[in-house]
Amino acid sequence: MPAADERFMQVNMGPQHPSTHGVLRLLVSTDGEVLRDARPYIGYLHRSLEKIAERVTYPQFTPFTDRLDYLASMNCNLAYAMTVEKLLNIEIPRRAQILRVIMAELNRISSHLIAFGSFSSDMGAFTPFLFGIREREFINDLFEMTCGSRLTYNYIRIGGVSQDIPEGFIGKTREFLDYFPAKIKEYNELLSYNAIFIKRLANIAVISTQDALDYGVTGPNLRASGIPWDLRRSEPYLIYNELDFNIPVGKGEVGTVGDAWDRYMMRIYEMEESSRIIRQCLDMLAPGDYTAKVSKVLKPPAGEVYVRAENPRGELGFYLVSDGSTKPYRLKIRAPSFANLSIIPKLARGVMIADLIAIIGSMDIILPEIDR
Amino acid sequence: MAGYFKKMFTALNSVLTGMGITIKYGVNPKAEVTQQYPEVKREPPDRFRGKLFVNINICTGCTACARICPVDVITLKTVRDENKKLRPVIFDINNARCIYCGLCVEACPVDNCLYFEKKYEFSAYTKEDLISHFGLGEAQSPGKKAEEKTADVTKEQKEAAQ
Amino acid sequence: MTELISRIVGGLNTPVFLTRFLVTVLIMLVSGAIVLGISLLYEGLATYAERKVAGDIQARIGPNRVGPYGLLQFVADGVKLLLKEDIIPFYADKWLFILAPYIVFTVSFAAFVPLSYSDHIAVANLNVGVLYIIAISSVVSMAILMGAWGSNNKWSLFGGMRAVAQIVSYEIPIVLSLLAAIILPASMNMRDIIVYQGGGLGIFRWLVFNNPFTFLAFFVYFIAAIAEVNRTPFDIPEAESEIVAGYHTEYTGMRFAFFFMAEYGDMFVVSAIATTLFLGGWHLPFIGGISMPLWLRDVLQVAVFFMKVFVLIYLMMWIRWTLPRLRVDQLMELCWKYLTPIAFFNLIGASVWVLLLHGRGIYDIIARIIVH
Repeated sequence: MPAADERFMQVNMGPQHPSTHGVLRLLVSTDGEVLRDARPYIGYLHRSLEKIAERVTYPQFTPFTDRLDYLASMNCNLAYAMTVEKLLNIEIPRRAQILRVIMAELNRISSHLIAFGSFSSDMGAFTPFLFGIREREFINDLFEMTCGSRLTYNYIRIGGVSQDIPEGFIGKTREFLDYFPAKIKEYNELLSYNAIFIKRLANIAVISTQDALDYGVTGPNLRASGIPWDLRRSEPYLIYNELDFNIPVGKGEVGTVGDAWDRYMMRIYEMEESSRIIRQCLDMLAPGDYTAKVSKVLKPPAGEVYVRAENPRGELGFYLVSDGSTKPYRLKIRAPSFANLSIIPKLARGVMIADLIAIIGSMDIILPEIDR
Repeated sequence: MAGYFKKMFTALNSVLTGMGITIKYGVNPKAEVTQQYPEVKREPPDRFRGKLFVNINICTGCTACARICPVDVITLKTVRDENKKLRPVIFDINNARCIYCGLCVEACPVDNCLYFEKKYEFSAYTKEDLISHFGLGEAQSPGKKAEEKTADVTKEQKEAAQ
Repeated sequence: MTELISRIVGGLNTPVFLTRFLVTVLIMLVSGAIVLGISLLYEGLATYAERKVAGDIQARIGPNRVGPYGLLQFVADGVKLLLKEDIIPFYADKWLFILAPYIVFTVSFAAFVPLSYSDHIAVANLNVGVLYIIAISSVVSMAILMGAWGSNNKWSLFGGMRAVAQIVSYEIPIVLSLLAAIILPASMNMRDIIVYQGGGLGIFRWLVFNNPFTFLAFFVYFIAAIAEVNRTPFDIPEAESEIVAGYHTEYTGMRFAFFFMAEYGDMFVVSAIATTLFLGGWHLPFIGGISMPLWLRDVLQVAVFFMKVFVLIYLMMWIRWTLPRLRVDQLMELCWKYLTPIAFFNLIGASVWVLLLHGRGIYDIIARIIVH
């Protein structure tokens, strides 16, 4: 740590602070309300997940991926399952693929709902947070009836999914999809286009296209900067190439392309697109196997593989090295939030304290993924 | 100057729109979605992953569950009885460490042997209380008597668990 | 009552000056105790109402466990706060730290004094009532800064600086818009102002309807008043998601409760001023002309006064649970670029109106046209 400059006040924001989304610690040096510098210190949630992977077998690691990005467990499960499948060269039945897409997109909606809600409460409006939570409960109920859990699903497994969807799932999902658009409209009227909200976020913490690429920013944050890079479209996996959906891109509706409002709005647009995807998938769903034949003891051939998937927060990548035994030799996780966090010190220079909160909220970082 | 007033107007307009939405909920008591938890309990779905339960009498002692568990929750000790069958002497499940992933349930080769109960209220005062003991214990005397005794033990445990 | 007490005390054969002194002290104590009791009860119920309103708006229920409909929640909260450990930080400036909550509470309580609750009920019938309230409520900013500085906490300091900047700035639009109303009755006595608004079915001669300038002045006053009592969207001095809890971060137990109660007390006072100056105070609408016993009239007047105040308080809560928070510089912008100029032009406009039309309101003019 460099010696503190006497002219500036050093303040610890976190690890216990109402809006650092967990245990992020920012060492902030301020000149009154204006920040000179904000430096993130991470590691308060470190659980050595990558090391644990070397200790457990391939199927045993799936529950640990739940705990990477706990708001989007399905997506983390999916990325890990695809990694191991690529190593093993397993073909996935079509029904399993469709089910995976449905779950991943439902989870994307629920994750974005939390992002929307926690961001709104960071901005001082507490009501949208509870509205977001209310809609998320529907999705949680759907997941609970499918796999029995509300947060750490462990549903998408190597080879397919753990069990077929229960009776009534399709009907309830359609019910939710019919109910949801009205709520998105409500969010927009209540928060997105609120004058105070726009005033707080327009032209704040603009990430230019070049910066976004340089810092490896991915996900909605990258697309808000005007780059239509979505792995579901650019590098299609599962059945995404058969589906019809748009990639929302930041247009600078109320300010500059890539400002905090654009990043926030990407998530609202993506919830709409995800709803469309789920609708199409429900129509495509035909009877079939929900999982491929996978032996109980997995012994992938020696080799290495890197697979990435589009998570709600960006590109989640697994780099897996196998030495031919039942346990991974090395697993490296490329967490999207880690890269997204790295641009915060650059954005935080010269803004006000309230803007720093807006920056953290609009980047939608999640700490367990950063600390692993 | 026109911009000045236009700004004020749009700001006021958006604020009033938002207030329109909140008052709609404010005056509508039917919009409440809260469930009064201790009085109203929701019925968990069939696949609910609650507390683990072992039907120890049909357990074959294969240790598949203990081997698959990623967090080493299950302590399983087996001995061969006089019929050369594996007998689970100790079968402890540490609920404090369980992550409810369900891998053990799927690994269990016997139907209805290891499964999740629809139970989610089992907090305890000490960590020791969170360990459920399902083991049959050491057989004291071989034959029919032992079997009877073990049946009693499991019955007691089941009652205690409930 | 004065006669009664003086008769009792006079019977004790004491010198006249002492009798007068004792009577004055006794009256002060009794009326003070009554106001304190009522204000404490009101503050308790207001915290309950705030939570209930928040619950309604957020599709929740709100407190409903203690007593019927959770009405006794504030008693439970009060007991909890009394029993909590009273922590004074080791490095705190103890005198400032201890003194600040008392000053804040006393000031907010002292502002109840000149209010006119009905034709005959008031604690003190001050001829400078409005000036007194404005003067005494500016002491709050000093007390808040004392507490913030005394806490020796960086977040508290941020909160204190913000509070002072905000309260001092927003005094200006408040005073200017109050002046626009005061020039019509040409009095600062609360009762005189209310008496001036009599007639016109008890509604149409309210100052808010007197002319377009007072109409605007009411809204300017109300917005500025929300800022004056530090509530969302202007709650930056205690912005939870930014600076933890602002100036009362380090306060616990009853010391915190004093700040908390003062906030609700201030809400009552600013709403009561709005009611008195703009909304006709205790004038009974429609039924004012019917003859009724004096006591009934007083009771109804008190009820009407409180009803108007509570409507305004509900409005404040409704706004709080709808809007996000402004940033500190935007708050200043709103004050200096919008509210202050508008209030200033209002004052000029209202003065011209009074000069040209000899203080007649729109209602009087229309009535005269109809009569002729």
